[in-house]
Amino acid sequence: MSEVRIELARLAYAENILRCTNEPPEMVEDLLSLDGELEKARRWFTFAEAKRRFDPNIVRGLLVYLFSHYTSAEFDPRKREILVREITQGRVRMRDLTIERLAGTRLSWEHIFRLVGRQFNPTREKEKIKELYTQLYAPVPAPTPVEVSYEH
Amino acid sequence: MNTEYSENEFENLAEFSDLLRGFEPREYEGHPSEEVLRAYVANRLLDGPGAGRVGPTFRDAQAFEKFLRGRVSRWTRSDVSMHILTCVLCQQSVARLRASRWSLLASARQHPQEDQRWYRRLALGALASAAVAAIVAALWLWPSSTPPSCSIEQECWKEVVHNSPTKGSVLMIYQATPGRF
Repeated sequence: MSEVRIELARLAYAENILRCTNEPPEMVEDLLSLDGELEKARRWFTFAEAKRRFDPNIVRGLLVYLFSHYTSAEFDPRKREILVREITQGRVRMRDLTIERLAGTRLSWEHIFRLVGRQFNPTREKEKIKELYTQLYAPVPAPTPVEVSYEH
Repeated sequence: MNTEYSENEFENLAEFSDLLRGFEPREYEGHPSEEVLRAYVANRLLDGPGAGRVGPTFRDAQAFEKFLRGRVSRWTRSDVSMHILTCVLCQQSVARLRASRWSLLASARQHPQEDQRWYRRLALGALASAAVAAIVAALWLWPSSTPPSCSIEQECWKEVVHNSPTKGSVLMIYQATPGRF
């Protein structure tokens, strides 16, 4: 039960990243890794950090795509239709969205670009996120032992 | 914009998908009220006190513990979103509220258009009437031929013009509307 709730807490944090209402990662790292899943928490923190370093709207756009495609295994055409119409009519902004609202909607990149306000290269932006994760959290390689010779 | 879903996307972000797996529906003791769900659907529920504020869930250990137990004292947008994601009962309620809200908004969008058309027609009619009246008045006031000889004796007019503080105006009116003094 507790593990499930911490998983949900991480998801709630991810949703806050989307809406720009998230706490800084360093303040919530302990809470969000109580179940030992530090790596999962850090992957979300990478998105939060990417928003600080890169174009925040593009990072949020990636999150919208991620939530709309992978939160629910079931495709909800009715929900998608309503959301797409709202996006098309400019009646919804990224700060209005929740993971629940996006789940199962399978938005296309065209819709994401409309929400973000401009086009971008998703592959390149995704690679930047992955590089940032490596930069922030990759284990520091142990220094190679220096060979000391005692021979005289 | 195309509303049809197509699998042919050039980038799918599948490598992040494991972050979003494992949220099975479960049974809850408490649920957000109908009023809270309505506020959520209408996008009136906030994350914290004031728009754009950080929610209370991660503010301190006590609040976080409450969230973990599923006993939130005041439902925030994130709380409701997470609850609905894992509660079949509330999923159905929200789907119903969302559909009814959508049809309500759709019908509300149609009526103002009709009203607008009605008002536009009225405004255009009034404008056209005013324009026609202005043209008729201008034609009526415009001298069609050489002014006839003055019906008031010239000497008398001279006196009036001479004594009047607005003699220019009087003279102009006289010239524009001959024969009506």
